[in-house]
Amino acid sequence: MKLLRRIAWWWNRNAEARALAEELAEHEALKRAELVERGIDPAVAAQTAKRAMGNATWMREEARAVWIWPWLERLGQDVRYAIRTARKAPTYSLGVIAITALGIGASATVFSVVDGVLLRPLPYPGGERLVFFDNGSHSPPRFRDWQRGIRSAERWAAAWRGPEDLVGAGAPQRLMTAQVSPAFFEVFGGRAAIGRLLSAGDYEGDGSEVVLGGRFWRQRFGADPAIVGRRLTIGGRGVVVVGVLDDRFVEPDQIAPRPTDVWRPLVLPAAIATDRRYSILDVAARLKPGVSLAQARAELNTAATELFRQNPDVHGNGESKPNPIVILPLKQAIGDQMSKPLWILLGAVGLMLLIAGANVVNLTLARGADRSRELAVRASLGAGRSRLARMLMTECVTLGLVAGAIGLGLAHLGVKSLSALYPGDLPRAAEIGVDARVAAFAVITSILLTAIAGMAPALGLKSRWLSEAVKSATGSGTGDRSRSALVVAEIALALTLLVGSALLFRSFLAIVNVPPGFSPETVGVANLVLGDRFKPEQRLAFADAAVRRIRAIPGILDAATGGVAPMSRFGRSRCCWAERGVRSETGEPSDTRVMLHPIGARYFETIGATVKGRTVSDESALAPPYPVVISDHLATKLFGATNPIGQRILTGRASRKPAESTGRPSEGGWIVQGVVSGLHLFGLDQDREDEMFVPYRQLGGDFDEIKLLFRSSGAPGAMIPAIRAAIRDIDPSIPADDIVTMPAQVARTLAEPRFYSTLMAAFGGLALILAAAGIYASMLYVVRQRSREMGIRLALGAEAGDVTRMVVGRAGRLALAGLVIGGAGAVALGQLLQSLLFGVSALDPVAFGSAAFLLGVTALAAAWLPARRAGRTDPLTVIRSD
Amino acid sequence: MTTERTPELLPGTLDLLILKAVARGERHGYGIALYLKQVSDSVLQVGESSLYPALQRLMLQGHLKAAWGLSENNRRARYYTLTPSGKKQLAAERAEFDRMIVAIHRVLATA
Repeated sequence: MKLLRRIAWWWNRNAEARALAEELAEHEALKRAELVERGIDPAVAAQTAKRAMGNATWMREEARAVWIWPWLERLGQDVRYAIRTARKAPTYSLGVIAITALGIGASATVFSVVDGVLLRPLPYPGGERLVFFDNGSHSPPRFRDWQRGIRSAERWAAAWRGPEDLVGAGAPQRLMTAQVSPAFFEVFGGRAAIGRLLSAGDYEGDGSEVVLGGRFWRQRFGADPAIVGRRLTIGGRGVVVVGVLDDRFVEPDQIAPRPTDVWRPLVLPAAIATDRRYSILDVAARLKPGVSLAQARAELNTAATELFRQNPDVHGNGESKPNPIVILPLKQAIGDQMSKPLWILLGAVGLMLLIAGANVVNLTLARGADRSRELAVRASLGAGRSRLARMLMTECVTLGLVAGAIGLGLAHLGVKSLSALYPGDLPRAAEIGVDARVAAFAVITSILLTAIAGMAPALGLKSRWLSEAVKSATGSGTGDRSRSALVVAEIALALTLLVGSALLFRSFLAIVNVPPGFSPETVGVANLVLGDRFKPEQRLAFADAAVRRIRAIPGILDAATGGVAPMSRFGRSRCCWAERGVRSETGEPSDTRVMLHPIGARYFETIGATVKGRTVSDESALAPPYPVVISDHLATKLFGATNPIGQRILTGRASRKPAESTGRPSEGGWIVQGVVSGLHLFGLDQDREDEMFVPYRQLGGDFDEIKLLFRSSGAPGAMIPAIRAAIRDIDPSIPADDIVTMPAQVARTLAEPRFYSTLMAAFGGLALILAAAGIYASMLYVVRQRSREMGIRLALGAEAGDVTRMVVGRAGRLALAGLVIGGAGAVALGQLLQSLLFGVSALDPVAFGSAAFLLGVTALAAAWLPARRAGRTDPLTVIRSD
Repeated sequence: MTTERTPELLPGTLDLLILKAVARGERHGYGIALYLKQVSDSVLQVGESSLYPALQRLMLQGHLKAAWGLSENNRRARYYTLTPSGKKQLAAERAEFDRMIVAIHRVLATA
């Protein structure tokens, strides 16, 4: 209220001042009249009345002080003055603002990502006590034993994630579902928007009660509140909706898919619930209050041994040793993959900020001479030191605020494009944004930067203000040394960044140039999920029908089914059946996991991979030893130099129980029929792995994901509608939305290295521009300062070229010093980058050489412009000007 | 000639007196000063230099509002009236003042 009245007064301040003046005049008139009435001489009365009224200006100021806080008014003055000063030197002000805003924009962008992904507490109750159970997913029996045997944890959450189809109620749709353990929503603080979440009773039946994700509910059902109680068919089973999860719930990456469309109770068929081979659960727990991570880890070591003693089958590592139980703080697990690259990026952006800071100091130093005269005049006119300091401070802060605001705007755009550029989804994406924390970071950094840069020269000048008051600004080299140091520092920092971006770029090129081992150009893949509603025979029948159908489409050269498509899985989401400890008939068991991929006929022909020997087909034998195609990697491992074709492969461990559920051969083993060479199944930058390709029928149709691969004569993208129609034709209830081309798929696997190298290239480029600007400004200043000297030299007979060379030579020496120092910095940065590099040494001479060359040439070019001007100095003008 | 004495008001009482002066009806600044002087038998004399800032302050606080009217001279003058919050403020300050005076009397009355 009061503030509103203050503002209203300020709005009408002129009218208010007039009103007061009129009021006071009337007061005076009335007083005079009274005095006259009392018989006092009018002249005397007038004088008395006037004296009583006192000083009108003072009264006006007093009234004003009632309404407007005096400090606010003084601040306003300083700011107005600062703006006036800034406008008098537009090049300087714009330069400072632009440089600072760029630096702030870049660093606030990266900071907001780091803050959102790594720093901010998890949005879950007791989030700092949440731990993630690492080492992949875990089997149901293991999870059950952990809950029983581990005392450090008070609450457990596990989820089995996977795609399932929604059929009926409109077009069929692929959903991401998570089957969650009873305490899941308690651990992660989920709330129901309508209806209820899963309750204990839901775990007693067959698990047909489901909770919908908020986003799915809005998108598919238009946020229909009547959804509760509705029956749906998901994954071939009838389920009933009991509630909708609040929209603000953030799925914990690592545990549940983001976004999860449907939440189901974790109710497993007995066969899976007791099978140690189904590693399907992602597990987190909340530690008891007061239990430290170290204590929990100590307990887990003991627990691992004890559980192994009780149940070696479930808790062993396959080599008669307890499987270690590894926990990570959940926050760390979520940010884990990105944490190192993000810190490096933040460091890179910090270096850029330093270059920006050096540039601002440089600009301010160059302006110092004009400024010192002005300050000296002000000081000699009686301005106190503190008043001058406040004036300078206000100027810096004003520029800093403007730059900070622009920088925030840039950061807003930056975060948006960064999220768009990032492959897939950034972890905790919903929490990333320019918020109050980021704004505070940006504005404070910006003001600090400009204030330090702006005040530093002023502090240095203080003692000389008076003595230099009347001197002109032709003074020789004071400040020269600090300016040189700044230029050297800028070049050093810029080189460090440039080498970093060159390394990442070279690494990216190295990845792109890896031969994939197949020919992706005209290949496409339809990713389908055949859920529980399909019996194994139906799945096989569908696969056969689909392949026949697709091969008949004009423009399709070949088609095949497979359990895995090249480049379709990367990062943590590995797949497939795996077998440990396979061996050759004569050899020791291999210690690595061997992955089993079911494939249909003409799989390798379709993707264009090279197979030595014969491939497997539907006609392959269905009794042991099963025919199999193995990767060259596995072939070398098992058979060394001997020709693997015709060799037998045996499973390492003795079979403990018949494996009807999976149909995997446990005895009798496999016989190698072909070897596929150089195939990168999981990503160009991934190591090739130990793989076995077996005919589909060998696994008895026990799979629910199926890839329909096709090779076309033209661009594969053009075939997508026809493929989709073909699938719909066979079974309209199967969602066929997810059809992608292999080139796009390959690009996705490259997205992460591309992301980091693009970002580093952007920072490197900015650093280059900033360094060039710094050198240019610095040399220009030197040339201007020494114009008299140049003039005299020229007058004494120096050639224009000599003078130009002198200036360029000076810049060259500085650049050289910067390159040497920066080279050392780049070596250090390279060590940090090592883990992000692929096929490139951290000391790659090409990266170092090209960065140094680019920077050196840029530096000389930036120096040459002012140098040429120096060579053209007209001696007469210069000498006369004094 | 009148003898001009600097008014020695108790601190904080000026606002109370002004509010009281306009409690029964609108007055302009001069009217307020005149009223206080007459009613107090010239004991309370409010200087213009403190009267006007006080009026501004009371307006800022929302206790007074001003409107233009005609003065005895037939010229425009600013007339002040109490707002509802001003009425409350007057009552409160008055109660506080009474309490203070009683307390001071008590102290003075002790032997």
